[in-house]
Amino acid sequence: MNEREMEFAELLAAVTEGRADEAQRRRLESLLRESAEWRELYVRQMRVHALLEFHGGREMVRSPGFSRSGAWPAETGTPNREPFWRGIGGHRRWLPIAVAAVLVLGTVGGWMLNRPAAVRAEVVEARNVANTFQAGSRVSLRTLQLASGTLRVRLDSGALVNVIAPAEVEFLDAMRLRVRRGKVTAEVGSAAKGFSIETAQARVVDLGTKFGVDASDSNHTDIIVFQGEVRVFNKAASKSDAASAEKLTTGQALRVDKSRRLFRIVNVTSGGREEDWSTRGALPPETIITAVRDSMEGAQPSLRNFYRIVPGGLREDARAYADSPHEWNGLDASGLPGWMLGADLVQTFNTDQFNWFMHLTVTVARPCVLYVLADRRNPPPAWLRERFTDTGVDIGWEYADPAHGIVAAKGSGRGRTLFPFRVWKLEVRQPGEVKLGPPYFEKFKGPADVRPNWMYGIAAKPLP
Amino acid sequence: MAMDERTTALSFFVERLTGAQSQLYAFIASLLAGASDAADVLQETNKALWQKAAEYDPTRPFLPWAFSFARMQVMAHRKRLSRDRLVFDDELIGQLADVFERNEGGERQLQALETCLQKLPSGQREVLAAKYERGEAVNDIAAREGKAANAVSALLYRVRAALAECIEQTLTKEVA
Repeated sequence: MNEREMEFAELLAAVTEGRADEAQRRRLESLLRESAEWRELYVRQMRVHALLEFHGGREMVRSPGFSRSGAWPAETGTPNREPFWRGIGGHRRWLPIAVAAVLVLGTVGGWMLNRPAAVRAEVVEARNVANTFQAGSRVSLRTLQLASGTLRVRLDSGALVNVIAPAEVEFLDAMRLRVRRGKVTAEVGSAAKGFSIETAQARVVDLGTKFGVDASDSNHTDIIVFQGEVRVFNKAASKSDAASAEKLTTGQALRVDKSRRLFRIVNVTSGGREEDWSTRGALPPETIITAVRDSMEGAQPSLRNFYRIVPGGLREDARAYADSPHEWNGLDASGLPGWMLGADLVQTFNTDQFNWFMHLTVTVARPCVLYVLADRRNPPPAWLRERFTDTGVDIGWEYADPAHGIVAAKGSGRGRTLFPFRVWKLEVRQPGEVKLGPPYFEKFKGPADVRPNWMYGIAAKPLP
Repeated sequence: MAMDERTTALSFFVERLTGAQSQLYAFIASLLAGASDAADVLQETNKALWQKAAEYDPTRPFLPWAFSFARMQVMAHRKRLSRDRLVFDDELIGQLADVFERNEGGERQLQALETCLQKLPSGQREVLAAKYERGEAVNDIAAREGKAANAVSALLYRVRAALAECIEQTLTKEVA
């Protein structure tokens, strides 16, 4: 360094260390005016200085949310000033910081693009959570490490986020989460369209929906769409490469593994609540139906639909399909037959409604009565007629299209428009696999031949 | 535009904006000559960009477009400041912004910085950590290390120069 560069370095040090006096500032300014060379050098130094600040997380200490917020709540201890790249693998905790909504860009719907910002949320429900969260309280979130229980929060974007432990989630902003571990379900209203969740393998952008992401296993990410539509991006691909995106709609699921290969998830199981879903077959011990698979994988490799197994799920207004909103109901005021209530239910999907060649394999873990609920408009398929017994009982399939003939709801206001489905039964004496045939009764010659038909439902009760 | 395309365009915009944060911060901090308001001005810039999201043409590079907004916000900020606070005048801001834009280096600078940090000797990394992660004053670092304060300042200057060099090389290699 020559003498002038040493002077320049000293002026720069004064500026970057925040101790420059008026004379030093004027001197720096005049040097910069003097030649393009100094300006190049200055930009070079300042750029790295600023990148280091940004990288080190120092700028967050000065960010308005921190400096103007006043006191920290007692339980939070010291503010988290870890640089973000270190914090990722290191010590993490809730940061319910009393940040005023300074960082919220009110006019743009709460988007917070400055990394240091905390995300404002309301605790909707905290079950068996060790941290002291109370329903109804307002919190500011940056990272969440949940060792036990379930936490449900509503972000200021309107998105309702359910986190099941063990989980580690970063709240990047009111529209963006990063799930490092754990199972997260997001219910996204129209206001929060564009809400996204990223994991090590994938980025899921919501298009107005309820969807879940399971990153409990570091080797893959599972994505489930309960309602609406999401777009899944390959994290390794160029971010602007729309071709790398895969669209998933209601009732579809996808597994992305470490090598970014995509797999169909055939079964999604449920606990008592919709958020208690699982892609690993987690089911209560008394469950009868433990798995369902179909013969369609080879025939249709791009198939993404899943069968949802809901133990004890058959009741009034139970969802009939994974991919559409129809529901099971009693045909009249007496409701569903008592002997069917509380049966294990499989939500099938309607993509198969005209299929005349597929078969399904249902695995039952104990002796049971297996029910098939079949569309009455068409003759029963041969396999059903031959192996199952017609109970003579119909139940209602809600939200029928009026064009297909309707039984007006007679029940206690439960159904709007109902359509009769016939209940068929088969006694299964031994645990094992039961094969079911296609939903459509015959091979048709062309589209003109096809008669309206809906996919059958599957239910099971233990043998008395 | 169909709703789908619009949502996709929007998510790309958010990607770009998010990816540009460190560069925008660096740009603003440079023009503000180290003043402590860079985070505020960045926030204002984000807001302005967001309001003009619909005008962003995804076929064109994002950074130069975003820099023009940051530049306006820096100038607006300068007008709000009292006279005793240092900020360069509009002409110098323009000249510096030109330099910055000519060598903008793209959105991958932060990743390149991380790579380059790994290559530094541990003593230098420790000084950087003290200043940029823990926010220690140069005087304190110097006292701990048993050095003169201006020696630590000079070290920081040299390390930044080395990092600038390394970042450029890393990014050039990526392009090649």
